[in-house]
Amino acid sequence: MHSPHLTPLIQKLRHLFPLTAEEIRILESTCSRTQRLESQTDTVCEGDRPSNCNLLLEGIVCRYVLLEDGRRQIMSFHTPGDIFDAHSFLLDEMDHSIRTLTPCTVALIPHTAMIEITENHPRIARAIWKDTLVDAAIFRQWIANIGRRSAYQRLAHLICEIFIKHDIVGLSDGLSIAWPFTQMDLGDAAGLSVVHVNRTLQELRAKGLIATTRDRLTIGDWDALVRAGEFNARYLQLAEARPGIARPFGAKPH
Amino acid sequence: MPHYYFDTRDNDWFTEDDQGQELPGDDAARDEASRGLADLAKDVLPGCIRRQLSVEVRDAARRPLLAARLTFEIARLSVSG
Repeated sequence: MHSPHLTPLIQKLRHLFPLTAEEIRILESTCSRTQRLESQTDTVCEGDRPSNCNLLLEGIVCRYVLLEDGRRQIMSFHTPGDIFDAHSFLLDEMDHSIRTLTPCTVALIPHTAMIEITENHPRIARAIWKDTLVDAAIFRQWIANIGRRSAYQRLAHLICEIFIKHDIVGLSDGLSIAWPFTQMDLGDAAGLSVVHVNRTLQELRAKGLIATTRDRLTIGDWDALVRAGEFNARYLQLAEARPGIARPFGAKPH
Repeated sequence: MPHYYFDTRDNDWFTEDDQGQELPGDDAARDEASRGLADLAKDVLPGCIRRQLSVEVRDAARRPLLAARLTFEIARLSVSG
């Protein structure tokens, strides 16, 4: 059987935890198949006991919980290259749901293959472990964001993070990225009302930090956006591997 | 669901909602205006002495429906005795 190419993950691991060609071949051989998902599909639901991990190859998903009154808190956005439910391998039951925000392609890694990796390929296991630790670092930043920053800072930080995550897997043109997020998605992620998200995005645009069209976001002034969000890419564990990514488009170092 | 626009006013700085939202009805729009006003207030009030904030709701045809308003003021109290 032909294994799917895991290009976005391999690109990410190049910065995070470089694997050898043989290790990449082994990792690719663990993916049994790929699956297409429609936009706005719950791919994992709270209470599920999955038997596969999902590696996102194309599209955007969000991790969320629903409150009893129907409001939603998004805890993370995932971009291609993320194994967005690696933890499902060891946790008994999912305590949150994962939903596609665009049409997506995922590669399925059976939990049996995860057992095989952890028992026989400790370096690949460490790479996946490190990736989950970066997820945890992102959660820490989001807590600081939602708990202490203004809406203007929150959205600036979030945009910087999403941009860098696209950039390292080759999904930016250096200046712009696909932008499928609705204002409700951003509000649910940043703990803000849609009214305030709308107003704050307009402020970011008016100050020239970003420009948006219906489906793309373009960086207007990266340095100003980084300052506005107090963004330091170190928590993504990528800056040392490739210093340029903390300041795309040849902006001056800080 | 009907479409509503939420324009905001921060003292004299007016921001027109360029997108709007679909909500179940006028009551939901009123509550969304209140949430937006509370978010705005949380960001801008600390450090202020006086501030006038409002969120003005318009319907799909951009006809004004209601405004949620907040007047903020720090009053210095004289120490007696």
